[in-house]
Amino acid sequence: MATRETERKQDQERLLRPACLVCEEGEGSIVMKLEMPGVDQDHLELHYEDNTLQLTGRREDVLEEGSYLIRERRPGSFYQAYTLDNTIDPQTIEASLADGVLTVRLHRKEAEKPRKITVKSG
Amino acid sequence: MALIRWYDRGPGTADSFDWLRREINELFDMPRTYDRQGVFDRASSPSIDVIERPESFVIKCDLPGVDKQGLDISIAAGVLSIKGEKRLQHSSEKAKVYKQETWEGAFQRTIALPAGVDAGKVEATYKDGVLSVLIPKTEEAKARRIELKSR
Repeated sequence: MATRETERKQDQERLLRPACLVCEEGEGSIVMKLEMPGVDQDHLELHYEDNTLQLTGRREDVLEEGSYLIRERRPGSFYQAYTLDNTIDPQTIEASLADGVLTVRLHRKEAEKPRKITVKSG
Repeated sequence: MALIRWYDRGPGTADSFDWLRREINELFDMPRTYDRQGVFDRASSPSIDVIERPESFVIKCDLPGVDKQGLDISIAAGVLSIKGEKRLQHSSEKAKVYKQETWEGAFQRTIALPAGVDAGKVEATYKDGVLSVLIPKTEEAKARRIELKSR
């Protein structure tokens, strides 16, 4: 039988996909909000490599001491990876975490923003 | 601009079955829609854990992005209710939404508490999007050790 400690570890290593909201605000600013309840700043990791943005939020409050009468919260840590295409400037990725919601801000490259082309009279 | 969900998917048709299998397995990793249990609970309600400890009950509730000020926690007639409103989401009306898996709006959860809780000494904290409510047991309800008397 698995001891409580190994069970806890298994719970922590199970990766769940956080619920997300992806929208574009203003011109060329993409905002992603990912719900990661129970994850604090120290257990959050963002990694960008080869056009892939990986987000990992390790959750500490899985399998608490005591006996569960109701258990609806899915035990596990959070993981999601996104492939960013070349319209996004990887230098300007911003991230903040507040109340269990991770907000990632991506910006389009200047050259990719919509612009008006003026017609020259010949 | 396209946000492409990442898959480590190799070429060839043989892999397609592998991919399909994985896709089916991952269905269960999606945030699930929670069941209603209490009478006044709505379709979208946050998930809860109720944990019993020797001295107390702990109730944990996932509420990412909920305004602390708007949280209303009350106990009446042995029923704990958690009410609030979830308004995370886009800062402007003009935002163009590409994908939304999160829910928003008002929610309510009600939980019938077991007998022997001390409703007067409830403590609630909200940290990292998780609400924890600690309800101590009454002295009579705590487990106690019975000493054997030797004659």
